[in-house]
Order: sequence, then C-alpha cells, then structure tokens
Amino acid sequence: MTKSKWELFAFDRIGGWVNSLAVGPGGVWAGGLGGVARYSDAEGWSPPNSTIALHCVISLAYREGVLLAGHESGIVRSSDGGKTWESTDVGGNFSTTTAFAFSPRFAEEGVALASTFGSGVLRTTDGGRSWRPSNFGLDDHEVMSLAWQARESVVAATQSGLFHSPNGGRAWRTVPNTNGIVFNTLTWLPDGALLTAPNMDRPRLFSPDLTEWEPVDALPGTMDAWSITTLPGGMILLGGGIRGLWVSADSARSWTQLWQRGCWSVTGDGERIFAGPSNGLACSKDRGQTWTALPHPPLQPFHWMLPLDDAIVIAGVNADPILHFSNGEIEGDDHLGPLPYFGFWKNGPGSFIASTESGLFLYENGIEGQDVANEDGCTQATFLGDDGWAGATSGGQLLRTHDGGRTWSGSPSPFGNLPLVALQAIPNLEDGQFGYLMAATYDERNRSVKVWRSDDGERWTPGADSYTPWSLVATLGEPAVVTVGSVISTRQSDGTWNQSTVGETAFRRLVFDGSTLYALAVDALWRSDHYGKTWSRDDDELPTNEMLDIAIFDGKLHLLLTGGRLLARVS
Amino acid sequence: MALTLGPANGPVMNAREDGSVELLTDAGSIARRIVEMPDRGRNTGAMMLRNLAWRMHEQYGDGAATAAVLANAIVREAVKRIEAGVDPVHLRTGLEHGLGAALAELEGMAEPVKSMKDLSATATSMTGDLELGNVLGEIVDILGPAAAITIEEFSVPFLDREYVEGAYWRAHPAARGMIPEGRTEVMLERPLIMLADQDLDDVDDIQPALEIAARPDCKRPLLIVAPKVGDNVVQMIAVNQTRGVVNAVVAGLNSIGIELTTDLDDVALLTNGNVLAEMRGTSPRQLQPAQLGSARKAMLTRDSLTVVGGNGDPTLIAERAQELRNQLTRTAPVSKERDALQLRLARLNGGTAILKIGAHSRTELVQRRSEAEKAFRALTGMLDEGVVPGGGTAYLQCRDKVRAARETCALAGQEHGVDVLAASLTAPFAQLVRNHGSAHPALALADTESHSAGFGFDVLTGSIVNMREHGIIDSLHVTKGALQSAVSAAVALLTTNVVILPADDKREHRATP
Repeated sequence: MTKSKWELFAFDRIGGWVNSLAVGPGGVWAGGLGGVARYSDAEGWSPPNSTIALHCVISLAYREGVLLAGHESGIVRSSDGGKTWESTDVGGNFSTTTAFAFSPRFAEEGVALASTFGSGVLRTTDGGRSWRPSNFGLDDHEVMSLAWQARESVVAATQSGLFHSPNGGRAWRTVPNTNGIVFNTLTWLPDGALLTAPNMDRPRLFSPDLTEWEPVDALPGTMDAWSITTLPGGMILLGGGIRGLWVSADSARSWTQLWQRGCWSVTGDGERIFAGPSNGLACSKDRGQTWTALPHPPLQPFHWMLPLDDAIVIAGVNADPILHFSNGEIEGDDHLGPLPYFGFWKNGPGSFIASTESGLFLYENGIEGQDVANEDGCTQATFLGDDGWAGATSGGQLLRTHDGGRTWSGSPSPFGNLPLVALQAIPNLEDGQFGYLMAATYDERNRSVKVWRSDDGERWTPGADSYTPWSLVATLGEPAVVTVGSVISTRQSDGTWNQSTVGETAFRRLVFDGSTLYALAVDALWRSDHYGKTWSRDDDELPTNEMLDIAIFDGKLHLLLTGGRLLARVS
Repeated sequence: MALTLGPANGPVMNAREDGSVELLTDAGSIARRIVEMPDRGRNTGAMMLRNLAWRMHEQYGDGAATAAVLANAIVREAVKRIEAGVDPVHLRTGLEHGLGAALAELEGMAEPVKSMKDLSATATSMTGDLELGNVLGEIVDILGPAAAITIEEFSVPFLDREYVEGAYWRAHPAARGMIPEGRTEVMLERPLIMLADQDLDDVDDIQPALEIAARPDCKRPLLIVAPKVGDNVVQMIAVNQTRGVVNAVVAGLNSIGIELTTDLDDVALLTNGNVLAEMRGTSPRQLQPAQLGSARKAMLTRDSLTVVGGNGDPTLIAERAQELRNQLTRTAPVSKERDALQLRLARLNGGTAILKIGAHSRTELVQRRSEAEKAFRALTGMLDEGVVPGGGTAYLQCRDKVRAARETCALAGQEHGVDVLAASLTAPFAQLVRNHGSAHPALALADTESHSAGFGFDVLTGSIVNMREHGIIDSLHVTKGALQSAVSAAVALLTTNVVILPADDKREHRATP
C-alpha cells in the first residue's frame, strides 16, 4: 500500500476565543470552545486532544503536575500537560465548572475545590480524580469563582453574594453585607485583603477579616471584570469585557489601563503575562508595557462534517456551520439558531437539518436557516428520500416528516427516559427503498446499549442488551452498518450480518466511498475493502488523538482534526 | 480518679483479667471499672463515690473527676467538724445553703461562648488532642446547639470532618444492582419519593408509584424507601430501568422499630410525602400522586441516604423541630434518646456532620472516639448555658459569696456547712496544681489570689494566666453539675448513721472482664 498524501485546510480566521488560561512550566494552556491547547515558545501551539470531547472549556488550573479543565458538564484531568485527559468522577453533578482553587497543601493532601454554575462547590481529596459537593451553608449554587488564601480560608463568589469557608471549603457562611450582589470573580492580595468584582459595578476591596469593604475608586464604576489574578511579586491584573485590561502594583490602590480591548482571561508567572482578548492570545514580558500577539490558538470548536453536493458543512456544538467548497473557499458564519447545536443531517440534495435548543432548522438555499420544528434537543435523525425521523436524547417526542424535513409531526418517544444514541433508516437490499428503522439507546446505569427495530416507525421491538462502557453508536444506511462498542456489524449482500471486533474502543463515524468502508474510532481510523469482513488500520502518520470526524466529499476521504484543521486525502 | 483531672496527666492503664489492656482517660470510666474493694467498709464508701462519678459521666459527659475531688474534700472537711461535735443535720443544711449561693455566683459569672476558639480550647483540654479539639470546636460552631454527628472509623491514623447538606440517614440499597458496579452512589435529580412502612413484596405495591413517575407530564426519577422489597419488585424496577420507562431506586433505612417509624415520618415531613402502610390506612396500592414526596436531590450510597432540598412545608418542619427541642429539655443530658433526638433535630435543621476518626490500633481508636463523643456533648452544653473560667478558677471565685452566705443562715450550726463548702471549693484547683507536679498548691493559690478575678493556674505552662483569654474555660452546665453532685453525695455519706455490710465469706474480689 502506498503512503497516503493529505492536503491541509486550516480555519484559523474563525473562532478561537480563549475562555481560560493556566500557566505551567515552560508554557501556557488556553481553554476555549474547542478544548485545551498548549503554547510554548519552543513548540508553538499544540492542538487539543480529541480522546475526550471538550466542547466548551470555561476554567483551567495547573498545580504540581496536575492540569484540570472545567467544561460545560464536568471536569477532566491531565497529568501529562494536556497530552491526554481522563474524565473525573463528579458524582452526577454535571454543571458547568467555572473555576478551580487549590489548597496550599495540594501536593501533600490532594485537596482542591471547583466552583460550578448549578451544583455549588465540588471538593476533591484525591488530586482531582473524584469530586463531591461541599455546599453546607452555601445558599447559592451558582458559583462564579473561588479564592483560596493560605491555610484553609476560601471565599466563593456567587450570583447572590460572597460566602466564606474557614475550613477548606467543607462548610460556608455568608460574608456580611454582600447578600444579593452578583460577584463575577475575586482574588486575595498579598496584604491579606480580598479584591472582588461585582457584576457591572466598581470592584470592592474587603478587609482581611471580610467585615468591611471599600470601593476601588481608581477603577471605572461600570467595570465588568471577569478575570482577576495576583501574580508572584504582587502584581494584580484585572480583565473586563468592556473596560479592558488593568494592572496594579500597590495592592489595588492605583491602577493603570494596559489596553482597552475586552479581556476575558489573564494569567502569568514571574516573567510573563498572558491575556486573552476577544480573539486570540497576547503575551507580555515587560510587566504589560508591550504586548506580542501569539499565533492564533487552535481552539476552533468544530466537531462534525456533513458533505453536501458542492460543499462540505463544518460545524460544532458551539460553532455555527460554515460551508467549505472544494476550491478552498469558505462561506457563512451566521447563526442557524441559538447555540448549542446537537447535530446536523443531510436531508436531500444540497440541504441539511440542524438541531438546536430551539428546535430543528432547515437549510436549503444559502446559509439562512428556517425553523421547522419546535422539538428541542434532537440528537439523532435519519432520512431516506422524503421520509425522515428525529429523536431527542431523553424522553420527548419522536418526530416524523414525509416531505424532506419541511414539516414535522410528533408522537411520544417509545424509548422512555433512556438516551437515544442512534437512529438509522435501513433500506431494502432489493430496491433501496425503506426497509426498517433501527434505533439504539444507552443505559448508563447498566452500561449497556439496546438496539430497537421498527418496520413502520410506530411499533418498536427492543433487542438484546450489549454491555459497553461507550455510549457511542455509529450507523450507516447504505451499506447497512452498525457499531456497538468495538463490534462492527455489516449487512452482507445476501442479507446476513457479519460481525467483527475491531480495536478496543468505540466508533464515532462510518462512511463509504463506493468501494471502501471507513470507520473512525475514538483512537484510530480503520478501513475495510471487503464490506466489513476484514478491517485494517488506515491512520499512518495521522495524529490519532486529534481526529474528530470523517466524511467522503468530492470522492475523497476528509478528516476533521481538532483546532480547526481539515485534511483531504489526495492519493 | 483525681489523677485524671485536667490535661496534665496521661491516661490510666487498666489491666483486664483476660490479659488485655485498656487506656482510660476519664474518671467516669475508671469508676465503672472498679466494682469492689477488698475492705467492706472502704468498699461502701468507694461504691458511693463510684456511683457519683458514673452518674456525673452519664448525665454530663464530663466532670466526674471534679465531682469526686469536691466530694472527697467536702467529706474530709465535714468529718473534722462532726468529730468536733457539729450536728450533721445542721452541717447538711449549711452545705445546701452554701451550694445555692455558689450556683448563683457561677451563673452570674457565666458568659456565652464567644467564638470557635472557646469551643476548640475546651474540646482540646478535655481530649488532650489539639487536632481533635479544633475539629470538634469547628463542628459545634458551624452546626450550633442542635449539632449532631455520626462517626466513621478508620483503621489508620486519620481525622477529618464532612458536613452533609440536607438530611442524612444510615441506609442501604434494597438490592444488588441499585448502585451500578464501579459507582459509589446513585444521584437522583428532582426525584419523587415513595415512603413505605411495610415490606413491598408484590409488584402491585409499586405499580401506582411507577405509573405516576412515568407519566409524560411527569417523567421524574423515583426513590422508594421501604424496609424490604421482594425479588419480583426488584425485577420490575430493573425492567423499567432497562426500558427507560422510570429511573427508580429502592433504599432501606438502617433504623429499626420505633426509630424507623420516626425516621420515615421525618422523611415524609421534609419531602411533603405520606408514609404508606396498610396498618396506617394508606395502602401503597391506592397511592395518590399527592402522597409522594419530592426533593431537589437524593443520593443513595452503599451506607447512606441523603435528601437535599425537600419539598416539605417549612412551618410544619419548624413546629416538629420545636417539639424535638422541648423533648430534649426533658431527656438526660447523656443518653441514647438524647443523641437520637439531636440527630433528628439536625436533619430537620438541614445539616449534620460526619466525624472521621482513625488510629493505629483498635484500643487507641476506641479511646479517641470516646473522648470525641464526650467532648462533643460538653460543647453542645456549653452553647446552651455558657462558660466559666476553667482550671477550678470558677469555684475559687465563688468562695466570697459562699462565705457571705453565713450571714443568712437560719439556724445556728449551719455556718459550719457553709464553711465546709467554702473550704472545699479550692480542692479542684489544688488537685490540678498537684497533677501538674511543679508547683505547691498553696503557693499557686496564693499567687492566683494576688491577681484579679479570672486569673488562674495554666497546668500546661505552670503559670498564672487570664483563663478566658487563654481559652481555659469550662462549661457552666458541667461546673454546676459537678458541684451539685458532689454536695449530694457528701450529704448522703455524712448523714448516714448505719451501714449494713454483707458477711465476709459472701464477698470475693472481682474486676471487670
């Protein structure tokens, strides 16, 4: 077999917003909608890893070799500087993680706190591997930020005031005179005072015992500070969305504006300051006097590809779809609907359906979408001609269309509360017309996939359970292929199904180019030239831990990588 | 027993008959181990003192050594006067008259607990363990007078605490598989809660609850709390789970008998549900939606059930809490009934603490746990009534008022009783100084008296300090109780005319196993 050649497209002019920063030995990590990327002067940017899907990283923190990333539904942990990630046990508290605070004795005791927007404060005692709620006395569970002083004194900034814990986050009490005030962020200063940032208000400086406070008159009254940090040496940096980046070197008494652009994240060490404006990342090595824009961070939040006739749609959970044409041109970045997106499906020549929180949107001409169904949260859909079906993750309705997705009707979901992880119309072998519908649900408690079958889309028959730790099920209609865990089942020309165990992980996507089946697993790309009877690896020299999706477009295999990179196989 | 007074001395080692050894740190436990003395006459006195110490330990959790030292001093002083011809009856009434003055003075000098530091200092002085003292002080400071703890034991040296938001019960999954393998708990968001005070043997017992939870307009997880469920019920729940109809979990509370009934009633109150049982006239088979409770969150682990944000009526919960507080005032300060009431009260108030204790050996662990429980009870008492200067200083400060009570004695001869009590009030101070070993009690007393009120002898440093400022404080509750018990025991001894003793051959020396 000759070595593959790939052509690279990079969408580095789109997205890349930095939500959070963390500094560690030799570099800085940036978190955004597309995951976590690392920058060092020597190596430049290292793109995000794709083994764990990180759709929206809000918070990052590094201490003693442990890198923690908080995303929209939990926390992940890396002990190798972000090269690989492991999920952490958050005990069912899947709220957005907004910030972290390490105990000063983290290296010895492994204690840290995570603030969440909805589940309060989570506490770990094993270095971040497992987290449990620690909300005793915390009246507001929408926590924006945390600041840990020496010993065990921690303050939490919430949507309804400040809360203080004198015992390392085990229990909390309201800080007097802060009730009802929305606080965005906060930091302890070297002199023991606490600098806090109320939302759209002048920052406040609290006395060390938190009994008194005074406004910071040197800052604007409409300061919308979102990031405050105290650097080694006492320099205080404060970044806001409207008023830009400010610095103080005298315990918050006087302030100097470093720039006027919005600044959403700021961090640094003794030598460098990193700050994230609305797009990109800047670095200063002279205490903020001069700034250098770093190369654009590879944080484009694309996760899926959908090939149309003359273009390929590229989109993500938090990324509006763009059209990438075969000549390299790009079109569109307008909203189809409110973020996030749950999926995109081709429903006819040159058109596709997008699922959002506001329902289904139909794209036909140009990038303008049309609202066609109010059912929200559809994660699975399938089309065969003008017939189509769409289902929500959990409960809700099973939608039906007979006109290519222009109009929909609904009926109660036959799958109960179990998440729907696959929905596929399987055509007849003989005439290619509708044969039957196949669906799959995932039971997280029992870690099993159940495959359902229906001949008319109304009466469903459950099949046997298949144990798998993976909630991923990939399907393809023509030829008919279904994966559960690492098992690939392919319908043969005589109607029988051939089963093969391929690799050790689950599959994200199946595509067929007319002669070869491709299967993208979590950690590998496989191909089969014999309708699934035999499989072989097809990812020589590819960064397997950065692969997100595959598609056949313009007769070529396309591979979407993290960081907004698209590869097209040219030979 | 006197040797255990104060933090200066180590534990007392008790060699058991079976060859094992236990370490005793409190006079109450030491008294309990002494079941008989060889001499018949001595044995009678010892048993009265034993009874005094144990009663003190049971009622107050602390102060047994102080009471014993005080009683000993009172008897010693009183016997001298009786031998000199003072009428014991007058002596008794004089003692009681002086006691009233002393108690009034103690109450007058009491101050509320000012900070966690006070609580920690007291717990530290009681346990001799700074780390444990600080943790106990923090728990009582955070949870308040209705504080309740459950203790988790570890087989390695360890100390930590966890505060549980919501109400927490010892409980277990009703069947294997309720908690998936590899998981430590099941978390239910916005669950409906069905409470049954009877075994649920048949699928018909849970069918109505499942149907309500599965309604398209409801679609909420279901928590069932029941003593036991039948295999077919477990299967029914598994099928519903597998088919995605209802996410249901069954938990059994670990409590039994009347405690189970009250626990279920409390869950019902907190979640606005009804306890279902044929005996109560509320059959699970005729369940109505309004009989199901609900909460913001429920978490079942392999040994506990926590309910957070119950949908109960705050007014009704407050009424139940007040009932429990009233019951607490009628129960013995140290009793299982009181512990259970405090735990229930803590649940209704929305929080309990788990104290996690470990030690190198079982013996050490039992000792540490016992000290923690004892100190915890004393601390909650402190919050109720306040504190006085510790180290016997509070008794010293009462002497002037007691002496002044001579002037109000109704009968001649009573002043002897008042004098006996005034003289005896120095005994705890003297014993503490003696236990410290480096100072003479009389010299230390003179030194203390040369300072203003509130100063006393710090047995850890051997210096005269402001007791309150140094965190050397005692619970008023215990301080008063020790004095009352000592006077009571002394009066019984002093006014006894005849002792009937068993014959020598019917006695044999025994020790506890």
